Amino acid sequence: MNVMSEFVYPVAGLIGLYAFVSFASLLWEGIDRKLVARMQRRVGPPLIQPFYDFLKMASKETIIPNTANFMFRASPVLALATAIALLAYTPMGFSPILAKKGDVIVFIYLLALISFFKIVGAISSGSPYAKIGAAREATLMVSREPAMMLALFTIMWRLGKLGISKPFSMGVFYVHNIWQIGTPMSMVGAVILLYVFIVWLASEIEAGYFNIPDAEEEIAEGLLVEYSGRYLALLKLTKSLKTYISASLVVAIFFPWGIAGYFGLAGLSADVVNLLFHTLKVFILLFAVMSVFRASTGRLQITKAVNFLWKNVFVAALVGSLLIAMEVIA
Amino acid sequence: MEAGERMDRRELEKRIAKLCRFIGRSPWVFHVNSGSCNGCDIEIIAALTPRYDAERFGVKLVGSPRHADILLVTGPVTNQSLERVKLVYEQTPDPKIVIAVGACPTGGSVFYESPFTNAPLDKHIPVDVYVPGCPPRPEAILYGVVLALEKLAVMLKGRKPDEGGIE
Repeated sequence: MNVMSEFVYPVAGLIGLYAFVSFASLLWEGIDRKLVARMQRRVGPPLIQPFYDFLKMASKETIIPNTANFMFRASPVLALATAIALLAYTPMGFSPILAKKGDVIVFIYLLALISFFKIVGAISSGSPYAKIGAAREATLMVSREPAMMLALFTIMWRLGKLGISKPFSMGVFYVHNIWQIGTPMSMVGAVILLYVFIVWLASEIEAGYFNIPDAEEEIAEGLLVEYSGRYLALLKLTKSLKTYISASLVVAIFFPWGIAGYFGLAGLSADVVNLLFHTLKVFILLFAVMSVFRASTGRLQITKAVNFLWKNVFVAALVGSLLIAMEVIA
Repeated sequence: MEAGERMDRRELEKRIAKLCRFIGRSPWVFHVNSGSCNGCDIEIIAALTPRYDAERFGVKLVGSPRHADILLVTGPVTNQSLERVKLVYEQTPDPKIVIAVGACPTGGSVFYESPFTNAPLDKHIPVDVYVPGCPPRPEAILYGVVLALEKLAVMLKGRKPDEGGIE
């Protein structure tokens, strides 16, 4: 019984989540390409085009450059493994599988680790384009994370004051949410933090303004330039998973409401219904942050993006956090 | 569908849609310019623009030969670009298709027997489809893509799909 509940069920749940999220995130990529094509008055590819792309890439020859070292081959696998591990800590309509006290730090750490493995793989390829892409990714990463971490820790800390069993856990959002505090100051703070998280999400999934590390027309897809065949397929899948996971975080913080309660469901069926509803919310959020943003803006220079993230977004995170924290401190 | 038969653009597009569905994959295109005068490049861009919308077949113009399935080579292969063209060919993972677009890579065009160019292209890398013309019309390029995809279908599945296109 102990083995069942502590080992078998979490692993089975993780495999199920991995299968579902792979499907949903690749489907979202197809929907996104179709929507952007319609916004540009084109017909656009079929919805299952990303699946065709994935199977094609997986079936093609995999070329390893002479200049590449061991990490070039290891890092796509490690990046995907990190993304799968991250699924166990991602709030997706219900408390995560491995929700423990303080797992928000593990979440942020694993999310940054995916980018880190991509950077290591790109640097190991020996291509100058990949090195430019890696430098841009690293610069963007250190600029976008502090604002998000400040905002996330403030929200976690404030929700912890409402009285919960596992503070700083991803499961907190399904016990209390940020709108529940209700005072005018916290409402304004929450709206400002929503802005911070939306900009963070756009830069995390590298859409629109922030499509800087993978600039396709400029540095030949940057980090991915030397990857081909199976490794390219793994990295594309990792990127899709990361898009879904990052959007899941924002949805869980600001729009955590489930619908299973209205149908009177409980247990596994409630989780499945909540997961589907959560996926719908993720798609709606990504439509605003990814598709519209991607179709209507070009990319910024890396210096301007860094300026924007520090001078605008980080300051907004500071103000929003102070507004939320002030009534507790004072 | 005979090789010499003139086909409407609409029919060509239907045929491409059918071929793409048959081979179940997404042809990603890498454009190699080996000293072209830009005439053929403009016609290629015309075939890829939102007006023709090649993306509805899954066609994507990629920035790196590592990601490509189809190499579109334009230009008379000048001395400077010869090594680069060979390198790009070797960098492209199998299975791959090479389309020589325009009169220059096909036979040298006005640069025939020039000491600074190395046309025709198939002296250096295997070419699957030639699209002659100076520059070729976008319909001719689309027809070249049809022939290339038929060749890819034979390569992958051992046979071509039935004649004609789909609605």
